[in-house]
Amino acid sequence: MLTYIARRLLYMAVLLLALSFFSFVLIELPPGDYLDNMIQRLRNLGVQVDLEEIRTLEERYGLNLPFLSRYGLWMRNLARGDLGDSLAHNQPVTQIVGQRLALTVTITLLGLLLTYAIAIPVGIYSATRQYSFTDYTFTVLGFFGLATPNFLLALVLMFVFYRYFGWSVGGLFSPEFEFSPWTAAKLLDFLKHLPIPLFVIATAGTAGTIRVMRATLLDELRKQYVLTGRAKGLEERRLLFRYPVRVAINPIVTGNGGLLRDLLSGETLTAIVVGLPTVGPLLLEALQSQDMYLAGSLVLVLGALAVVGFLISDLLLVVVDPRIRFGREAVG
Amino acid sequence: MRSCSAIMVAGALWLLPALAASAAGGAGEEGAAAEAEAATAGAAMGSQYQEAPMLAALVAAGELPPVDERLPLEPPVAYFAADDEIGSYGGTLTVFHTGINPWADLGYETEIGGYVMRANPDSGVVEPLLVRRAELAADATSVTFYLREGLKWSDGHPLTADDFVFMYEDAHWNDKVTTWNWIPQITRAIKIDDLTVRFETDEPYPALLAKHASPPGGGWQAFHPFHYLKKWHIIHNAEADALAKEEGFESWDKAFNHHFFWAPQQDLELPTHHPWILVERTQTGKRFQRNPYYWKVDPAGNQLPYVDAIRAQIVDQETYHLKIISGESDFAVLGTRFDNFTLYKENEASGEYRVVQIPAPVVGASVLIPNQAHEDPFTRGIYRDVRFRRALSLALNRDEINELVFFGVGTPRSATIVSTNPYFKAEWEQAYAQHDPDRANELLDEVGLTERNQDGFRVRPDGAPFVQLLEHSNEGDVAVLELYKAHFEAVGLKTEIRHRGDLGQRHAAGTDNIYTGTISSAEFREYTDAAKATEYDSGFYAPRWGTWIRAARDLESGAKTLDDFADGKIPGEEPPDLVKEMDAAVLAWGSAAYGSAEYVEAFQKVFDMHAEQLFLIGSVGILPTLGVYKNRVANYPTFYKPEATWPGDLLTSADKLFIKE
Repeated sequence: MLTYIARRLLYMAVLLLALSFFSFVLIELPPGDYLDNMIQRLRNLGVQVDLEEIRTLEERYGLNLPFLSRYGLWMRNLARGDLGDSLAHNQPVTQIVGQRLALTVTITLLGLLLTYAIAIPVGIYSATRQYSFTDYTFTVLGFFGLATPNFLLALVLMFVFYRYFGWSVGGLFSPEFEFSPWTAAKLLDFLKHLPIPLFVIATAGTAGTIRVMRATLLDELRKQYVLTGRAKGLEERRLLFRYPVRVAINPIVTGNGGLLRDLLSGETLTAIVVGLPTVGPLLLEALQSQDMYLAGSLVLVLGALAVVGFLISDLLLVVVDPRIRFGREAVG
Repeated sequence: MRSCSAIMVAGALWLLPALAASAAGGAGEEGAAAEAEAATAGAAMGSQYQEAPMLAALVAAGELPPVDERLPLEPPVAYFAADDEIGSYGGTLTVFHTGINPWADLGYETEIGGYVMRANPDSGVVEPLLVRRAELAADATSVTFYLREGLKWSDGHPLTADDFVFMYEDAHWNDKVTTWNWIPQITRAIKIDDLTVRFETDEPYPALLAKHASPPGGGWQAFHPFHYLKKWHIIHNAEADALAKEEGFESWDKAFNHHFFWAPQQDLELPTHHPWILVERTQTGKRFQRNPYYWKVDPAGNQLPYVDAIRAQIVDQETYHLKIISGESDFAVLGTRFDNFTLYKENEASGEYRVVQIPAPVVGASVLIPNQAHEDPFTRGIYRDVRFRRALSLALNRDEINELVFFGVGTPRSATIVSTNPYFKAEWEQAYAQHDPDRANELLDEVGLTERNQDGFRVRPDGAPFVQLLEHSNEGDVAVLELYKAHFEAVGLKTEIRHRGDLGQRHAAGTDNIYTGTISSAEFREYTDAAKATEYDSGFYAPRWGTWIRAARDLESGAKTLDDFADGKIPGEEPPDLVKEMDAAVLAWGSAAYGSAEYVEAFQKVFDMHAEQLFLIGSVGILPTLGVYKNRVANYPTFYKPEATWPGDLLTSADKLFIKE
């Protein structure tokens, strides 16, 4: 088991190194760099920037170095835990990302839990009542959820909550609580802001998870051992939860890593629309202004999260599925 | 009533070069140094000033000196328009920002505290504001500022000549410090005594006073707190490197930049001269509190600002508009968008706010600049042919663009100086600005683009397609560009629209095709600036010509020799004689006394040539900025001041905002 984890961690490191390189390449691909942003801003203020000044600025920001040396520089600093400085924020990347990462992980994990809380029971219900009216209802709703883009759902919900409930929408706090210490009122305000983003993020994965749960459970329900159990007089509910449901949950646990990745990217779009102070909007902003060290670091961090997600799901699988656990022990 | 009258006032006051008049005029007429005395408050002897209750409480508790000691000896009076009211103290304003940088509503801006000088909105005269007196030398090679006694930074430390000298010597002129020096003409900064500082230039520079009535004369540009920052600067502290390492920076310059830089500001202890102090900053918001040492008073002798605090939340751009219409925003002007005009108006009553249209000095939206130094010889030949540029201009249906994109509130016009300039000619605005597709077709035929392909588009002589590439860097411009495309294709010119993230650099390097972008009068205003005018003028529509002209000028003046340039030849590209002639006029204009016969002649020659030659092709200009102000907010900005160069200037009067309950 330990060697398995160690091997996985080694693969992860190699994967992340490749990821860092390719994300750096991707960020470099579009023409122009951070300076264009700055030139435009100066021009709007009535300052004409000439080529000579641009060269000086390039030197100051190290933008004149060849691609590989910039990558090398970034990697060398990375090894020391320094992700470089954000050009636009005038601040070390680690500081900026650190502030937002916790919130991103919190929102994403809450979204994941909500997804499971909705999808697994609904999947079980649909499978055990196949082709019933409720099964069809859930199916239709699920496909709606699958087909509605997240940002649209977020906009509609924001409008509805503002129009009919008069809630302050966008962000995680009302302006008056932005800086106040945590009190009951602030907590209430926070909870009021939570439903829209959580709901939107959760719907992204819900429909797919319902379908997977329903399909695998249907397969299992038709198997011999279910029939045997029922013939031996096992109570229906106990039979269901003890055997086929446990097996049917496998693909969901395996898909966990992918789901985490989807939720992270779903979170990006939702966070931009709803105005959450998470990593997503920061990444967009960094890409738009070609703030490359910030953008590269964010891609790397999000990539690392996704890879970790896969590792966790693999380990979870070992835990929940005795067949895999025993199989491995038998082999190794 | 309020907004109407204010808009008229604004229109009448939009007299940019009038600044230079007041700055340079005195010198010309009297042959002596131009002087200006500041307007001061409380003419009565031993006048007492009033202060906010929260500060009075601190004074009573002995934590703060009394208000008379915190204000300078003769504090400047904030400009109050006829319909502005004396306000009452207190309250917090809520605003929304779309980024962490200070370019935002009531954010920490160079302008928000006002400048060293100000152009009086009533008279257009440039008068001292932060300083007591300003003196431009008779030969316009230096300006001397006499500071106010008792003027203080927000930490109570006196603001002195050291702060001005420091900004230039240790920041602008230090290679290791990141800053934007907007007045590179200044080459020496001399401290005469604690309250007197002189800036000197090598060449006469009459715009010196007027420049200090705009962002270059603001805090962070002209002065910075020397007493606070010196310990991080290697010149003033030999141990600065060690101090930097202690704080976790590689070297002194990194630490210095951290403490000194303002975009965005990292060091919350950095003293300021602004009405509010940044006291808290996170990734999602900022909080500002009143500066107890703020140096301006209202006409009744009340220390400004009225408002206690500003609360700013950082949101997404779309959410910004949602916050406006839901009535959560008290003050929104820098992030408002014209295409949301109807959205704001629809929710005016339910959101309890008012939408104010502020006529802005926009020369043109999506002004077209064909690259006359294009790499492709055929394209270059066509773009240099004035008949082609006139055909492009005549092909545009400006009324349609104005109606469809700008709700009919803009002004269809050529790209020329704004109409409130005293030497403006109406014919400049009208030049080739009529919609005349027949004439455009004739001109295009005359240029030699007679052959067409099966789609009806004009082709090159070899039959290859001749495509007009409209390059832009802002997705918001596409609506206008789509109309340009339709108009050009109607006269047989195949047109494509390209987004270029690096348009600014492409244009500077002369590798673009047809540049499009909004041109504000801030950019046009640079024409009034002799030293900048050349690089700007020719540089703007053909940067490679500008490079050549500047290099040639340096050679002529002896500032450089051929050996200074790569390969020993003049960089850029030699422009045609016509452009050299215009360049000579630009120089003459820049060096003539404002309003003199030579000045007017040269000025008008430049714009006559622009109107005839159409180096820049305009469509719709003079577009309003939308201010959305909550009903409870009073003394809000309704017009651009004469010195305004960009929308942020509307914040220079933010200190007089107050909340009316």
